[in-house]
Amino acid sequence: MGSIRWRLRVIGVLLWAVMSMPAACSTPGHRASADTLIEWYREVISPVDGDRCPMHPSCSLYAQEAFSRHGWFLGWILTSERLMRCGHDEIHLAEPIWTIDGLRYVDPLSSNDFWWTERKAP
Amino acid sequence: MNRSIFRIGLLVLWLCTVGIGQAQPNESSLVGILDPDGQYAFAMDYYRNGDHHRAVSEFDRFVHFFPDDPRVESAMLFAAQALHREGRASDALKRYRQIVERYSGSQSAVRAGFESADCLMDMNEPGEAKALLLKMAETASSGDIRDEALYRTLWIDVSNARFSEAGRLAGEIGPIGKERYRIPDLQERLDQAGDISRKDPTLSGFLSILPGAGYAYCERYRDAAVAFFLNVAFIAATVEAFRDGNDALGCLVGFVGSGFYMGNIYGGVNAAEKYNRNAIRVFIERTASDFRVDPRTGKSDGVGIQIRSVF
Repeated sequence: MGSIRWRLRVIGVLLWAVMSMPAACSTPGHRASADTLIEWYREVISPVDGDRCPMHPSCSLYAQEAFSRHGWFLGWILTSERLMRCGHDEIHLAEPIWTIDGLRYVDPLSSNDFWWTERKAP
Repeated sequence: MNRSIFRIGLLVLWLCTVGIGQAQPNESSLVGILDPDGQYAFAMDYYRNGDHHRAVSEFDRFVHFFPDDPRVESAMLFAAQALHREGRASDALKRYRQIVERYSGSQSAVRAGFESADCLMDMNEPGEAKALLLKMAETASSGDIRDEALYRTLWIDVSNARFSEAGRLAGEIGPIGKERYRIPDLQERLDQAGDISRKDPTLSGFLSILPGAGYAYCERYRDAAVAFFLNVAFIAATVEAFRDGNDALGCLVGFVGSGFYMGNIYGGVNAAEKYNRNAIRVFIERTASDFRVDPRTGKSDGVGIQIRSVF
């Protein structure tokens, strides 16, 4: 009985997350809050954590662009997906460039949402 | 009496100097200063040295002061080419269109037509460029022009990954053009487009139900491992939090974890799409590097291909 209860809770949480994210849609207010959060990360956490992201644009900039272009739901998915890929296989596939911070690997948002935007386009 | 003579003398002097000078048109005063050969050579010097901005001005000066010179046609063409090389494709396009209108049917007009198509490609208007070239092929006065127009159109299709359409156009090129542009070899390569290794995005997304499997299918094994362990960790943490009665923590971890799980599914599809796009891009670049010829020089060295489209 207890086992069924926690399973229902897990499913409930996942459903809630899935259902609530589209509702928390891409209104300017939500975009601003995402920007504020990412800006806070860039100003407070990132300098302490160190400049470790090997991608260009960095994951935080990528996230900012993803949220502003696609809203909360897809922005969150794109950000999570980028964080999973950051610094692994992508550095062997993406084009390397020299930036002011050293060698980086080009992986812009447009390389990861081109098929999505193409399908959405009329 | 003396005063009258003095006044008449002054008037004559004024007429000889200022009055007559003003009556002459300004342009004729440049005769002796500018000569057509010198001006043309001067403009060509700038053009050859890569100073395109000055070359445009000097060719314009030539056209303005020597409108009857037989080299006006080529000066206009050089000026447009200089603008194009300077990166001002839309300005160059206007000038090429002027040449086509003014010297319709001439060799310069044909060259300007081809260059207009290049400008349109630089302006990311492949549809318009293709339409222009097809029209040129239809109305061409000779087989050479028709073949060149078809050859250029063919490469627009290749750059947009429309290989079967490119193959069809290649078949329409005449026998002389086929030899000149190595069409049989090119057609053989285009026929291999169907063998390009591809991944199915739908299958990849479906496989991603098991975290990381979609990445593994697209040969991204490190990403697959990260996606698998990260998602397993989030799911386990959520379950544990609820088991321990920490519902708030469970909700929080579950919320964050759900993003990574959906990101893993999106990533599976994305990896397949990127794999396919990269495979097509490599195929196009290799084909261009092996077979593309500059129609003007007949040489293949240094002729690249612009790939801008999403396919």
